[in-house]
Amino acid sequence: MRKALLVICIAALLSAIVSAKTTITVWTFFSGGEGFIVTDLIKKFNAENPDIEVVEQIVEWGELYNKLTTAVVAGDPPDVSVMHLAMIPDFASRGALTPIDAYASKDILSDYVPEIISKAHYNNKLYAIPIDTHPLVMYYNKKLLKKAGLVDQNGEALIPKTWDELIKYAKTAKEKLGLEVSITAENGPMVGERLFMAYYTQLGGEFYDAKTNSIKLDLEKAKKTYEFIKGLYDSGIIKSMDYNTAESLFQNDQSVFHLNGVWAMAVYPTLNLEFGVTSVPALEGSKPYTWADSHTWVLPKHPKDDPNKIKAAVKFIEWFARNAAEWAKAGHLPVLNSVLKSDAFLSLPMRKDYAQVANFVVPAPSMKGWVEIRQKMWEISQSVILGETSAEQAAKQLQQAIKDVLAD
Amino acid sequence: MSLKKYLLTILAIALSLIYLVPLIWMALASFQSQKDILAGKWMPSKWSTDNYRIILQRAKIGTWFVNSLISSSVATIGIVVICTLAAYTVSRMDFPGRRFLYILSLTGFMIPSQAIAIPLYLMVRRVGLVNNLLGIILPALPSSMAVFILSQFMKAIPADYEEAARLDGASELDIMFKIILPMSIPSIITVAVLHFTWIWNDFFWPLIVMTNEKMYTLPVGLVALAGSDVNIRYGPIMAANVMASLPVIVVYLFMQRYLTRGVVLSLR
Amino acid sequence: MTVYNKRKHTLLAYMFFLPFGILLVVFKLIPFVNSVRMVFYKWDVLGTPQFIGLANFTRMFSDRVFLTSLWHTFYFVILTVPPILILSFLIAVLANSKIYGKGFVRSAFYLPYTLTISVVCLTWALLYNPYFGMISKVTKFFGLKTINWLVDPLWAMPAVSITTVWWTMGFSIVLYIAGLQQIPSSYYEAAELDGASSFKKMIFITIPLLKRVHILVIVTQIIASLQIFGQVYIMTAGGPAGKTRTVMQYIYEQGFRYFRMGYAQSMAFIMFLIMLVFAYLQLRLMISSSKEELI
Repeated sequence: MRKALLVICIAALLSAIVSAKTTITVWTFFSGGEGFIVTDLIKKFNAENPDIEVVEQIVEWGELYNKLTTAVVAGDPPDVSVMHLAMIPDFASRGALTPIDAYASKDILSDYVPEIISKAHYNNKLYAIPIDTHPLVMYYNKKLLKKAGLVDQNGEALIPKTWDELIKYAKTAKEKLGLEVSITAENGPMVGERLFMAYYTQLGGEFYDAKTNSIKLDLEKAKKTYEFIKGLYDSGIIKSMDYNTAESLFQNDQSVFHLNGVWAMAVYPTLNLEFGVTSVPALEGSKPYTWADSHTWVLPKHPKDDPNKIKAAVKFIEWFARNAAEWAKAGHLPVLNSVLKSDAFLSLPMRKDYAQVANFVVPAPSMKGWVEIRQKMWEISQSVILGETSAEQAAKQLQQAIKDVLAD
Repeated sequence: MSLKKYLLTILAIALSLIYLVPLIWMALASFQSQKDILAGKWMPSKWSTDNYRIILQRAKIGTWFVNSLISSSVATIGIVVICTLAAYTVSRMDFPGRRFLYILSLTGFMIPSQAIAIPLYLMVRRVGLVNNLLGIILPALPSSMAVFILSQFMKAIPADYEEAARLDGASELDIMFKIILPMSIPSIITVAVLHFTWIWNDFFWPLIVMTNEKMYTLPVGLVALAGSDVNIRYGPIMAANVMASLPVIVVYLFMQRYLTRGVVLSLR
Repeated sequence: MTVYNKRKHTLLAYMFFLPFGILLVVFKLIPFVNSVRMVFYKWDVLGTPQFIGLANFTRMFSDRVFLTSLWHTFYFVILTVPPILILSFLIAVLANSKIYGKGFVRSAFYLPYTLTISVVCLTWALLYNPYFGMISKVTKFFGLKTINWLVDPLWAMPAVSITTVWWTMGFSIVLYIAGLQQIPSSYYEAAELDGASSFKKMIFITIPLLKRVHILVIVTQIIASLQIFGQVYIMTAGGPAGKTRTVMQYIYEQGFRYFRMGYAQSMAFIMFLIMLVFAYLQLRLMISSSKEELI
């Protein structure tokens, strides 16, 4: 009898402890190196905060936004979700996010790089806590460059500073080493959206117009950009391929240059790969402008707000933002001034090689309809690469697509 | 004559083996390192189970498998029960409105599931069955194909048995359970195997109704895995494929005798 | 039967039918009625639906992407149905001929059909890879040009089709074997007495007698191929440059990525009309097959 009582007491106690915990579900699309870091950070947060339990759920990168919308509609969204900064207007305007002004602490907001935190707002309400910025950069294989004789007088691998240099080196390396390709990049988002925006901006074009909150396309510059992309593929130094193939070839010493986001830094240093990382090449006379987007944490809208959950969720995402030096191990650049200046960040390997990229980033447009416009950009550039559409037609198609999406 | 038999046998076996090459390669690749796969090797240079270890650590493959198994088998059992009853009604019973019910039961043929996916999704969402296995199971139950195959088969059973039993005072339930159902077993097996395979393989619907990683079915989970994890690349994916396929292959090898026979009998 | 018994019998019949009937109405007929209603609306799921008359349809027929997707869908049907018909017939004949190891041969060809779509597509996507896939190894061995299967606009759809044929052919083979087993051997014996060659037997006996199976395979396969989604979604995501985007893929994109529910449903409605023709044929065929033998 006493035993039974004891058991009941313990059970009651346990359930009291368990129920006192606030569970926060978090959707991420992080994987590989990035994934491990997020998982570790969540573990650390859970250990430091016994009253909150953060549970991570991984969703496919390409499907997160669709699934999030359906989940909000179904009234069953996660408490926290990762979201690209550029997506916030799309979701906030549809009422799918919870504003967090009342919950966020003032000191963290004033610590942000101003351009980033301003984009986390929609109609003057704060909807997101940004955690990084991740630009497009260029990776190069030192071993292959040396093998191809592309070295300076000190025997160090030559790093192309301009597009012309890149093309020249890539051609030389391809011939000397008998490679199938010497530059690899995924043919959809990487080339059609990110490389496009980088080159277009380097031409002096302005892609996103903040005043009208829409895209103002300069047809002539768009045409030139498509001509440039077409030229790269026509010369044979780069071929059309998917993301996995592009990465695999670079990792396997089968390609000299690789265009990818900084997130690849989460993995490359762990491989047996002699590589370097730098900003994308620049046009003669231009700065090496490059595309970038940011990861943020948002609170999807529930049918009923639960202040306790929101408080716990905001506590977690602010904690995460403050620990961004840890997150920066995945390759991303921090967006809090205090983290940017911290030793923890600056002492990470190779960061000095690309930290300066942050000064030349062109953020993905934070505007409604961007999801659809970028999909069109991927396809239009693919069809340019395949020779199905001329550069001029492509520029017009893009202009029309932007018009159609914005009108709808 | 005998020579011809040998030659044909060799041809048939050779073609079969060629046909299975993608599967054989999938199994071999699951034991290869990333380096081997990128080098395009047939045989692993060193047999390793690392890929399996990675996939078991990183992916909820067991959960997805169980989700697929539960939804496919519960739906199959449900289909068999509900559609057998309906098929029995429209094929063996005589009552006013029989023809109407028969035609009604076949309307599902005219409405492909994709054509109603959107309103169906909205309905499933409203009743809270998103991220619930019932969201897959319930809409699968009213299968016109199942009613059709079963009723065609039952119609072909001669009335003599039934009449004899009725004379002996057997009730409707007796007739159904003791005479018609036992004789319909081949068609029931066909219906079960076909529907199990269809639901097991369905991709569009679970992709829409399952938004939570824990609720994915195997096909949706595998694709999400391949599309999301940069470190889980070719080798581990092939290991996941092998793990996802083995149980089904084993079940099939046991069931295959029934399948061909069932199809032969019910299409008659 | 007495009147009482008759009434009881009728009641019992309706009771037996009830579970199926309710589920059919709830999960097929009501959604169908709703689907027809939806085509007149513009709706992004989160807001309120807005009545726009036939605007979805006028939009559809000036939407180049929809029209090309429709063509891609038909193209896929053309690329898959004839090969499946011919190959599955030939293999069924071979597997049904007097050979050793019939069971093994049948299992080998049916086995892919038991695999889940993702396994099939992920494996083939890697096989097709021009840099490290096995198919490029084989083509190289025979001195052929390496094809960038899934990225080449010319080859992407054929590649998806080859995978589909490999994956689903087993089902048609089973149908053919079922048909073949019902041809009385006396037909062949009579032909042999007349000294007919194997080729002639096939042309004059086997093929004509299997007419019903041919039609069944064609119609079933057309219906299946019109609904193609998973293979494209997994292997190419509709690319390169939208060259493999089929109607189902486009419906998915419009409905569940951009949340234009009314527009997506209007396209689904067009697909419904197209498939209705084939579904009707299939049904007619299957009903009449009950009156005579399969062959």
